[in-house]
Amino acid sequence: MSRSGLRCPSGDTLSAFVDGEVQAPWDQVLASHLQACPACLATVARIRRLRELLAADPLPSPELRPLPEGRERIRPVAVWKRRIALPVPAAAAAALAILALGVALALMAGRTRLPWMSIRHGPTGTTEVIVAAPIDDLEQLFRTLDQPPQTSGLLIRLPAGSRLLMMGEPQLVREADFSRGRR
Amino acid sequence: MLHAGSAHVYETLYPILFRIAYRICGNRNKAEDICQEAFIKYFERGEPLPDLEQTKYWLIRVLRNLALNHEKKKSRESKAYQRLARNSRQYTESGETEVLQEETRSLVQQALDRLPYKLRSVLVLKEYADLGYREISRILGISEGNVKVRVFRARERLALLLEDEL
Amino acid sequence: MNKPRLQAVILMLVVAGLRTQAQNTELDRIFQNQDLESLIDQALQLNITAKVLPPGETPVWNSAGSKVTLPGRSVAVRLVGDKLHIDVVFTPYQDANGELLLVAQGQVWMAGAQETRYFTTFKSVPVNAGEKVLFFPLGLSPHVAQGDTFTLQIEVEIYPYRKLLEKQKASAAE
Repeated sequence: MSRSGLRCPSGDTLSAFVDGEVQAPWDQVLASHLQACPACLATVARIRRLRELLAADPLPSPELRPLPEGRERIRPVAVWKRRIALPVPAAAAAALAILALGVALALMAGRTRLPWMSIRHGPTGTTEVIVAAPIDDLEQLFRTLDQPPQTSGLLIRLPAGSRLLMMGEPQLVREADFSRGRR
Repeated sequence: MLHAGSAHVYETLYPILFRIAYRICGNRNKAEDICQEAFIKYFERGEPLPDLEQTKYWLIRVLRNLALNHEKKKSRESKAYQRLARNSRQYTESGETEVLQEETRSLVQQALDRLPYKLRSVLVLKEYADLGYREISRILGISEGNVKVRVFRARERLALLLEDEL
Repeated sequence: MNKPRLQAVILMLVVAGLRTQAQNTELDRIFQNQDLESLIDQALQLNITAKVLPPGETPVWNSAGSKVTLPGRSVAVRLVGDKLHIDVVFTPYQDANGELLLVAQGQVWMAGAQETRYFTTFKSVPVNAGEKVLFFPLGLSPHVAQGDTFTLQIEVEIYPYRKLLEKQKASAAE
C-alpha cells in the first residue's frame, strides 16, 4: 500500500495519528506519507503545536479543600461600599455565625463519623455550607443550635407539601427593576 | 460513607478532576463546585470501586454530566442575569453584578470556552485527562469514530481561534 | 393624634429595639432626644408579604405582616416548612438625605434526602419609600414560565410611619 502518489489522508486521520491512535500497519503508511507530503506534515506540525499550547497553559491552582478535618477560615462577609456604611459588627457577627453553624451542622449530621462538609462562597455575600448527610429533624437541629424562637419577628408557615428548592443565588431587587427585566 | 481510603482517593484524583472540570467549565468556582459534588456522589455510593483507575473513570463520567447540566444552566442564566443587570445599573458599584464578571482566563481557556460543548468536552478529555479514544468513547458513550472526528473538529476550531499563538 | 395611640407606637418601637441586636447607642441617642415626635418621624413600617409563585406566576399562596421599626433596627421574618427553614432579617438604613437602603440577611436550612444544606446570604438594595422590593431567598430560576419550579418571593415595602399615621388620621376624619 505504499505506492507514491497516495492521496492525502483526511484531517481527522492525521489528528488521530498525532494522538497515536492509528493502528499498525497504517501508522507506518502515514509516516511514510508525511515524509513525502509537506502539506500533511504542516498539518501534523500545527496539531502538535496546538497540543503543546494547550498542555502548557497554566491552571488556576485548585484549593484542595481538606477532607474530614479542617475548618476553613471564613472570610468576612463583604462590607458594602456605598455611601451608607453597614455596621461592621453585624458583618463580623454574621461571619462567626456561619462558622459556628457549619460546625454544628456537621456535628449533628456526623455523630460519631466525621461528615463530609464543604463551605463555599458565592458572589457577593453568599456562603453555602453543605453537609453530606441528611438531617431528618430540623427541629432538633435548632434545639441543638439553641436558636431562640423569634419573638419579635414575623412567623410565616409555608404551605404544606410545597416543593421549594434552592434555585440559585438569592436576589434582592426593586420590583420596578425586576419587572422590566423579565419582560 | 467515608472510608479508610477516601482521603487517598480524594487527594490523588482531585487535581486531575479539577483540571478537567476547569477546562470544561472555564470557571474556577464552578469547577471546584462540580468536583466536590462528584466526590460527594462517589463517597455516597457506598462500595468503593476496586482501583484508582476505575474510580477515576467513574468520577469523570459524573463530572461530565454535572458539567453538561452546568452548561445548560449557564446559557439560560446568563440571559436572565443580563436582562436584570441592564435594568439595574445602579447596582454596579455594589458588586452584585459580579455574577456576570469573569475571572481572568487565559487565551487558551477563552478559546476553549468558545467551542461548542460537545467538542470541548471531548477535547478536554483527550488533552487534559490523558485518556485514549477508546476510554473516552466508553466514558461518553459514543463511538471511537465519533471521538476521533470531534477531537479533530475541536482542534480545527481552536487552531483558528488561537492562530496568533500558534 | 391621640395620646394612647402614640404610646402604643412607642411601646412597639421600644420592644423592637430591645429584641434586636443592632446598635444600642443609636437607641440611646434617640431616646435621649425627648421629642417623641421626632421618633415617629424616623419610624418606618415594613410591610412584608411572602408568596409562593408557581410557574404561571399567579401566587398560589401568600402571607403578610407588618412591623414598625427604626432605621438600623432589624425586622426578623421566619418561614417554616417541612424540610425548609428560612430566617430573614431585614434592616432598613436611612442616611442624612433620607435615602433608604434595605439590607437582607438570609439563612436557609434545607434538609434533603442525601444532604443538608445551609445557606446564608447578605444582600442590600437602595430603595425609595413606598417602593416594593423583592427578596428571593432561594434564588430565581430564569425559566420561571417552564417546569415545575416554585419561586419563593418575599415582598417588602418601606413606608415612613409618619405618612401612614397621617393617612389614617385623614381617613378617620372623613
